[in-house]
Amino acid sequence: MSFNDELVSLLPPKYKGRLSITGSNTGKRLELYIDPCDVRSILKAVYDAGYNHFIGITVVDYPMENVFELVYLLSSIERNGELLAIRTKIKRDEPFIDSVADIYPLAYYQEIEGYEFFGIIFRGHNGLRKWILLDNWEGPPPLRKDIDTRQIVLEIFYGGKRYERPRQWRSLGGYSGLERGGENE
Amino acid sequence: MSKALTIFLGPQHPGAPGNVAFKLVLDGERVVDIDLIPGFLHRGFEKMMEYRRWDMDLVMCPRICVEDPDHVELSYTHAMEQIFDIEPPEKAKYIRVIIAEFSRLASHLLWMMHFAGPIAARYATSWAIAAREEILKWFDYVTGHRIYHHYIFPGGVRWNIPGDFEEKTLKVLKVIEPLIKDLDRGFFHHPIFIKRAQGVGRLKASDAIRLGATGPNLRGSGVQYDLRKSLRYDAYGEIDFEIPHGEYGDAYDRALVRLREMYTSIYIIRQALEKMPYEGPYRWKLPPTLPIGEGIGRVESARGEFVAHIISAPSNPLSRSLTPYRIKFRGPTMPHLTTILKHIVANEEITVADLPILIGSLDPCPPDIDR
Repeated sequence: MSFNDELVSLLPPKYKGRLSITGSNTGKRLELYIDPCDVRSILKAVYDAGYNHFIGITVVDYPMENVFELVYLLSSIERNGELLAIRTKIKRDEPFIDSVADIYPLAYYQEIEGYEFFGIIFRGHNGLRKWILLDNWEGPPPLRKDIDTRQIVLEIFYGGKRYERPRQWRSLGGYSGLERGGENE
Repeated sequence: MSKALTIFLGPQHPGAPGNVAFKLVLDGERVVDIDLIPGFLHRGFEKMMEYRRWDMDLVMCPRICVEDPDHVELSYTHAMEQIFDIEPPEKAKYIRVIIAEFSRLASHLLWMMHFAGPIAARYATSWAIAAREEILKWFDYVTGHRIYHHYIFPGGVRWNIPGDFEEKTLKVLKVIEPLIKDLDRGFFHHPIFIKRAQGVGRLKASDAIRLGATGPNLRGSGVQYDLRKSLRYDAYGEIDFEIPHGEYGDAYDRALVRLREMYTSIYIIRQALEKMPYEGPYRWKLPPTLPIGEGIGRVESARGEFVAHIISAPSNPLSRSLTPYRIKFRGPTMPHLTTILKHIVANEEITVADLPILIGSLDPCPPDIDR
């Protein structure tokens, strides 16, 4: 793997020296750290440089540092599947970043995921809503690190106690210990 | 334009491909717009995996895509091996190739149910399921499980192969190859099928790349892109095979690509059996604690590019971690059922009767959208 000259020439001057090659095996990639305000211009330049295949956005939550890290994974089909990871960090209490859905059509749906699972607002996106979680989840964005989904499930389904099912009165035909209530009483 | 009619298709519908629904906007018979409604199988795997040890997470991986479970394990394994910074033993690489290709075969054979079923070609479906049954029995013999195998493991494969591995595997290939040839003659070259599928759902190569298509759907449009060839992961670098591809990019081309891929898989398995070293270790033992790092596992699954992005960071600064900090899976189905379906429906006259053929030809696996 080598640096793509076309990509380097299209990048703004302040990012020219920031490209690096990391990873091994199938994860070998070019990496670029950018400021969140430049996300649209960089992704436009990257698209023009031939990285036209959008893989996805990985959002990572670091509550201790008050940071959401967004990793845009892109690859280039002309350049034999070369992987490019563009990373940026936004503040956790002000989770705003520009949408890139008009550059990469698939980003539209990946950004909806980022909204419903992490509560990140993508500016310029016209369809932020609950999509996968519709009718499945009430409450804060569940993939944030400070949300304990196990506790919420215990409270809703188990009455706050650990995996203790309510007493079962219906007969199961005399074969099951559950008939006596499931617990030793 | 007459008055538009909105109807819902699925999830409880024989024509819907699994646990997913669609909202259709109809103008007479024509589908004008289509919206995906996912989430019926959302189990929160990514969050659950953050609570469990990394070896327990591997057991959860195959549940993400029922039809092609081994490629999910493989992508997770690749990412984990990057974090541990190890290479699997040579023997394990070949076993992984054989397992992955059998998984691809089983997935393509099950796909006949989604594709031939809506055209009412039930004979093709039952023939394909009969061939798949032989593969499931083979999986049971090698790994101990029929559907979810948990066999590919970070550091190699979980168990050693049985003593009569080669002859049993060749025997399975001998049984399923004539069944696939029957399907080839009896279904893929049947005039009714050709009439139904040809010219439906045309996707140009430039659009397919722009919208995010991968796998057979991309190759059906004439783009020769296959991660097995370009990344040469595991033992694929030493194996010689060709990438089947279509030209026109319609439903018929995509179907033929999958048919040719079945032959390619059989060819790859035969080659791997010849070149495999039967002696030597099959697995390196790994420590229970995870090093800090990041791994991206990319594999060419039966439906396209499957990516596992794993980040291992200490959640508690005082102790070393047993669990990954964040796992993100990117399945190939999301672009196929959202951007591509919307694009085809907007640019071509698709009627309600053609819709199952179009969706079937994209070979969706909705659980990898929901996760």
